[in-house]
Amino acid sequence: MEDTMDMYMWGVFTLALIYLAYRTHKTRKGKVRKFSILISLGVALGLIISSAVIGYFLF
Amino acid sequence: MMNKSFKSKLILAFFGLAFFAFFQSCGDEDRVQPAEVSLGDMDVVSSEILKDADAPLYADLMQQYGFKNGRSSDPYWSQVDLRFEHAVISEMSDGNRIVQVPVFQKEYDQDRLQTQILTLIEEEGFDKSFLLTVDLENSAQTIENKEDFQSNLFSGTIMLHSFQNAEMTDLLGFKLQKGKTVAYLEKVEGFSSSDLAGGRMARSGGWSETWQQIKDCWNTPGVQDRIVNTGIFGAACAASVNISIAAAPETAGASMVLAVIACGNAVKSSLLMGAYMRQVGCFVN
Repeated sequence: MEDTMDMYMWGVFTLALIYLAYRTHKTRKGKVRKFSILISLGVALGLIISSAVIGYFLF
Repeated sequence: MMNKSFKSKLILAFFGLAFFAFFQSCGDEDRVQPAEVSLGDMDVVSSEILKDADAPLYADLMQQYGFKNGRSSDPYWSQVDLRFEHAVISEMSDGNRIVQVPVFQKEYDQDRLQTQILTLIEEEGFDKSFLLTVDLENSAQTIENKEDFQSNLFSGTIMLHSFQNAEMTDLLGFKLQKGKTVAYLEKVEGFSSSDLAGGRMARSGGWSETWQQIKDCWNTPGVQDRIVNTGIFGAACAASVNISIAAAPETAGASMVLAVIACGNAVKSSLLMGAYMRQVGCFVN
């Protein structure tokens, strides 16, 4: 139950963050914005995949 | 258009929330309580909880199955989430020693399943005094008969094994997994892993096997939860990195701290997910 609540809280928090990112992205224009989504997704995916591989083989 | 000062406050508020959530999530552990010993007319003389996985009895057991640090390289056994640290070993009035190994399960009626397994064991001609029980929690499904037992009704894996006078004499393995063909029952003399492998499903090679492994992993209890958790943390990480890229100079610091916390959580969750996948035997072959 506690874990579920934690995840709901994190889910709401994540949605809010995504909305904030959307607003920030929308309101500020510049060349760098073009790639910011790709960069952020790349960073997140890279971290997750590499961590999962490390967790699988080392722990 | 979002006001800069408002945005700073918003980011700081998220930062505070993330900080709180991060520390709250630290130290979460799956906890399994040992089951009560109850096997027919036999009396339990003494019972103790094994907390040390290096106890001689378990060391022998683990060695025989090729377990290393609680894991087995054998695909059959590696799918069993054994909680050796919560195992209960009991001296029975008839001189047998019975070991209970909690299995990480959440969907069964423990008493009824145990009764049904005992009945099945008798039908198969085994002596139930050799039986080891498993710890199953929170009933949602029950086994009505042998046909049910051999159907696809159940997910997860159950292992039963036994000792007599401190020596293993028989072993019964049950494998019940949703989406697979049948559960099977084996009596193994001498504990050869090649004998155990005889009950395994034949699989084709190549992509179909890989896809099957992915499906098996996805259907293993606990894996989906961890993947969803990691996905949520990963999305928070991506969004916070995006915010820090686009942030105004006055909010850059706070947004970077937010990104570090969110991505730290994603890394932690992902490490745990990978470790759990290894523990339950995902992609072993």
